[in-house]
Amino acid sequence: MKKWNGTEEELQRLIEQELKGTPVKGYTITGEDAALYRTLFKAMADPRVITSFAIEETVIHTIAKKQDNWDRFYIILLGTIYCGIALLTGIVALMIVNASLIEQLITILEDHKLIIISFLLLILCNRVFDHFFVKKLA
Amino acid sequence: MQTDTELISRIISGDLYAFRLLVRQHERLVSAMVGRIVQETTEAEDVCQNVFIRIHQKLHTFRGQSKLSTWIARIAYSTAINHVKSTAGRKALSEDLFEAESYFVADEDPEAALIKKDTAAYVQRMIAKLPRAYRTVLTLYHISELSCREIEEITGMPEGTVKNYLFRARKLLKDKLKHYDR
Repeated sequence: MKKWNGTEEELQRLIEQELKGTPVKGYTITGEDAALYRTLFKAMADPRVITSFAIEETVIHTIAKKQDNWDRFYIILLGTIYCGIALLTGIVALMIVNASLIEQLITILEDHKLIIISFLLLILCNRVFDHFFVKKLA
Repeated sequence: MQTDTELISRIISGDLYAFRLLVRQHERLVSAMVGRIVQETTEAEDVCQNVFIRIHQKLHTFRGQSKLSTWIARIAYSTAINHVKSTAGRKALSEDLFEAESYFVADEDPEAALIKKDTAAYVQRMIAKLPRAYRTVLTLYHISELSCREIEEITGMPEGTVKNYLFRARKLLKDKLKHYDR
């Protein structure tokens, strides 16, 4: 059997092959460098020293929470659309039955616009407070 | 055993158990890769979580042109690199690879001497001192067992560069290992 004599790059490749179970036939690869590469390649693949984070539960929990939030948003969006359609249908129906009723309604809304705006702002503030503080504390 | 395609379609249809399986299958690949790029443990853990969340969000865009593991590794690589860029700035990414030898010149601390008792731990510690590009290539090749072609796909480095980095990094480690028992 001949003694192998080649470049260091080739030596790395041959040691790799040898460790994978397909050694180069007809050659003996000996020497300090070969021994060091064997040690190195085995050490690099040692499963004991490979960092592995146990993140499975956290990831699943985060995704489930995101899905829940999306579902809730979807329900709120659908509810808003349905309410809008119902309101619009009501207005159209009123216009068909008695157009003057709409004018009266607009006048009432204009007279009490501050109360209405404050009421809407209150609901909005409540939602924001709930989202940023209460849910986070929970 | 189900195929990647079956697993992906289950995940896309909202099956969280299927996604749990995907996380289990690729946790080691992502952890090893992110852990080598982002070396601070708590930060690396957070980045790993972000990687899987991104995978979940983007899975519907996977077209099967590469292996699922390659696609996942690409996301892990880009997320980790972006994290390093955002925390340490671009300067941290432009380490001079030609001065890599200087990483090993400094005297070792007592902890390193203690670690010498275990070859594998010692090698891992030496890898941690290498430039980021070398660490990444070594991890993908030796731990994740990917080919140079796949590493090119993941990192965007040309295949020749990948081979060159792999050779240089292994030679540096071998030279260091030479003094291990002395």
